[in-house]
Amino acid sequence: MTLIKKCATLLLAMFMAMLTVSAQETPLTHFMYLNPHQLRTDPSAEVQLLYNGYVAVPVIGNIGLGLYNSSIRYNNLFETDDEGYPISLTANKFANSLKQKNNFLHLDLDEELLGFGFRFAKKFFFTFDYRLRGNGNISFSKDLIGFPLMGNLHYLGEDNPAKLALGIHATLYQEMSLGIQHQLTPKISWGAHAKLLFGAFNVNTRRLNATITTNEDDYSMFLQYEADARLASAIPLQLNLNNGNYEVTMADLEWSLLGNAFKNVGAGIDLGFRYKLTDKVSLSASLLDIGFIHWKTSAQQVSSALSDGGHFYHDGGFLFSGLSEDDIMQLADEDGRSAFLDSLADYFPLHSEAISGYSTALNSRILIQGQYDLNKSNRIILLAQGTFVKNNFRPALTVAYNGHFFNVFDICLSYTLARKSYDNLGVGLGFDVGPVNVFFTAHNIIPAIDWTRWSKITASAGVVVNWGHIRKYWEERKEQKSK
Amino acid sequence: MKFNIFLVCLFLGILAVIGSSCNRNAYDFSRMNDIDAEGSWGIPLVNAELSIGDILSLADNPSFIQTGNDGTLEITYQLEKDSLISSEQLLGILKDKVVSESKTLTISGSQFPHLPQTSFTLYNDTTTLDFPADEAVLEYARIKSGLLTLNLIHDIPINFTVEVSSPQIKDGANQDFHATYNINAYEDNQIDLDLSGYTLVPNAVNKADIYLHLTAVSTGADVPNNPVIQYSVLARKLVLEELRGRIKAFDMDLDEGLDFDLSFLSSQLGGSITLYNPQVECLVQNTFPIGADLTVRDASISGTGIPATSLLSSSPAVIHMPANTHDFESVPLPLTSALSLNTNMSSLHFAGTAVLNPNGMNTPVLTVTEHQTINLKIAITLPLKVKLDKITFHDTLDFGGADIPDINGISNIVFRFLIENQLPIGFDMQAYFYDSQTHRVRDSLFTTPMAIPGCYAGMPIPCEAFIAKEDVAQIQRMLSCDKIILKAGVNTDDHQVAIRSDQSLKVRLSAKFDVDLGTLADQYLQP
Repeated sequence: MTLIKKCATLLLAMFMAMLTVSAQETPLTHFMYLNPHQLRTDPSAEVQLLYNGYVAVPVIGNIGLGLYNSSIRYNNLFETDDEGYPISLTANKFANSLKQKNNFLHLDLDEELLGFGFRFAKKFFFTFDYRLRGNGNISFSKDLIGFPLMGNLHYLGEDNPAKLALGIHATLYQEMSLGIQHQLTPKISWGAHAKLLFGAFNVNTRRLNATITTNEDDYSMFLQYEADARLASAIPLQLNLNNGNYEVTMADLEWSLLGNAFKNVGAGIDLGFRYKLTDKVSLSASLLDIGFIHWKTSAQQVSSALSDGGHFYHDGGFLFSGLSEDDIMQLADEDGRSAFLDSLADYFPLHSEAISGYSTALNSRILIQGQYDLNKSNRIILLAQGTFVKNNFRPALTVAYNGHFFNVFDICLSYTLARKSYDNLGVGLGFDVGPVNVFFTAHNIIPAIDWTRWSKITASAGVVVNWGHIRKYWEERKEQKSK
Repeated sequence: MKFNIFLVCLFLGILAVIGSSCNRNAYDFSRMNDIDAEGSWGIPLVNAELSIGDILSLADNPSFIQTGNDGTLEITYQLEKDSLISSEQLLGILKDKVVSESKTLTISGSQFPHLPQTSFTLYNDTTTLDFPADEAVLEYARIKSGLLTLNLIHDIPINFTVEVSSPQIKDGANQDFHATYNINAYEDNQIDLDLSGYTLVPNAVNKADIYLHLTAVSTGADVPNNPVIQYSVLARKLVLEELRGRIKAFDMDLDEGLDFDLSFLSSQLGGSITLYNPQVECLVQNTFPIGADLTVRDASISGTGIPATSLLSSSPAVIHMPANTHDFESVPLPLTSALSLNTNMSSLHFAGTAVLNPNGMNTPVLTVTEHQTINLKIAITLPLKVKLDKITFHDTLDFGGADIPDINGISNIVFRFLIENQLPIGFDMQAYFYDSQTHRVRDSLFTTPMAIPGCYAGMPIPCEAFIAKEDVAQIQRMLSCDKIILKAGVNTDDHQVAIRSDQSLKVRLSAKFDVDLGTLADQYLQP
């Protein structure tokens, strides 16, 4: 095997291996009865029945990562021999396996720096969380991979253009939230979190796409594109991409970071509502991360639009149908060649400018859940959820089982169905050691068994110290049972 | 509790099933030996429209090719001869001629008076200057410049005075020429008398009398011997300002040409070219008071070692240039309607003789003054209205080879020419790559010979030509040959066509090829 193939496959393997780290997205703590972090995705969860209060151990109170790969599949990338060894990188097959658009890689980061909660007057539970959160999303069209791999002859004709699209959206921010959960009636509870957000970094491609149409007769290629991105950073970066310059300057980092850490202000809210239909059946709904961040520090806009740079400009696009007689004459000598290449840059001017600010919405989520309690220790939950990432809605359906045993062990098993991701088997484990609750969840354990079948992983782990009347609560239940 | 155990067992069972299907070798890439990434590309390379005018621009617009009023290309040759014959040539007919007379005079010693301070005449003499009459018989000639020279050699022992006069040489006031000079004893002298501004009025056929009158003042001394005086009178460097008289016929030859280098076509060309409607415009201006003739002996296209083709329908052709024409006047020449050209022809030639006053001395007296001229403008125009009959070019050319880098992974290469020919000329071409070491033709350039039909009905007929090669290696093998056998043809399919500067050839060249990225990456990314 040649070096390049080795390098390519090694990089691929590393990339896929990377996706096996623990992660989080609607983590399984959402389903775990004994875990106070269920409040984070279900603000109406009845934790006041369990605890007087809790404290998440700083830094390790909750560590979560989520990775979602919508389209990259081992079986599409590699051809294997009878023994299962990969023998060929099947790039064409891979390109053909992609969705026409919105293939994406998504990363979620959730690190709890400080968190606690306490019960008040039996019917209220208040929480405070200080978290570092981030998400990154790279989306791409099928043709972005397919065009350079398969060539423009696979995209012949006006009705079959190559549509190249790339989206990059990444946000890193601090989140401080105050939460309340209220048992309004024995059947109805609600909860809410008010969040104050401070952005650290954002990059947001509003438009980054191109269309290349190849004429079936003479192979002339017509390019239209639009590019527009905004970025902001607590790090004082300034871009100068105008007039052919490519400069990045940075002010005094140390002081600027301190000064900018709390300048990109945002706000958000989580809402939850729960209703018990019967003793065994309950319904709940949550809206999470409804909010925005307004970015001000080092806010910049980078854009590019095709310009009329010469005779290749045609009807708002760049039409290359071959070199004209004048081009050929110009290319005949070295100075002419240099001038010709420089002139091409005139068609694709890059422009950057500082802007006063802009706002981005959080990746909001909606959760609708039905729960059936098999008995006091076991329950089945059906969760329909969806995440809004820019203009895309990513739905998923989860069925989960949660059981808690001996007032110590908390176990959760789940299966999640998402677009082009059908084998997400998750497991969550938690146990109490005195007042300390330790938990680990993984939304998809398949990659740990067969790395060739991964698509989505959300996992979290953490340590929480709780206190209250748990034992008393169980004693009361025992008494009620004996009665 | 049973339910819990059931669920856990079920879950573990699912894991076992999945686990049984897992592949431990999936990430062992030791057997990887291929990247299956194949693409097909079509690239437009050239989209050019070259007009004849553009091509001429590339050749720095050779001056002998012009665009006519109707847009037709023309091979033009313009000859301008200012002062083909000028009056200055006639007025200088005496410039290089010396007209002289010599005499020897003996003076008796007894003529010298013994009484001092007595004036006396030494000698009176007359001589005649005879100006040549073969060029002109003068009635009157105003002298612009010139000298009358008197040479004196003597042994006269006293100083004396010479008076020179001529009744045929008049000054501006119509007085006779008269000049006096003092001569020292025993001293030879050359006296130059400036005749500028004087007028010569010969008393007979180009004759003028010169009178010498020698006087002296006596010293009283004896003169024992008889002194001798030798003198000569010369008229020289005479340039006239005006003459009146009868002059002989004055002729001037004209022989001009234009070479055009078509040697690159060499002798490998076959076929014939017929050129229609050649034009020769002849403009003349004759300000002399007498008519002139221009005899055109030759107006032709020729080449080395081949007979010339004349543009004239009859030769020689005589053009009469009337007198006193102060504007250029066009005079007709008898021309042929079609020229059959040989491809080796390489020059245009125009030759003839202009004759002023063709009747010579038989014509009446005329007056010639300065600035009278015969001027000539000849414009030969060969409009490219042609018929090309199977012009073929067949030659074996040395080929230095072309260095094409090794590129693996590119295959099924097809270059496609899409041509729209607006020229009323059809082309066909094929090139064969020949290896002189093995004496074999290795490959041909085009899949089938490129044939481009001419555009005779106003609408070009699109045509295609292909160069198809399996891979870059085949192109390399082809270009490694040391000879190219080139076969090309040009014809107008029996049409008489006009070649215009705005006629063009649209050429679209595109390339189609398959790319195996795996092979390509192997080649370029290997350490």
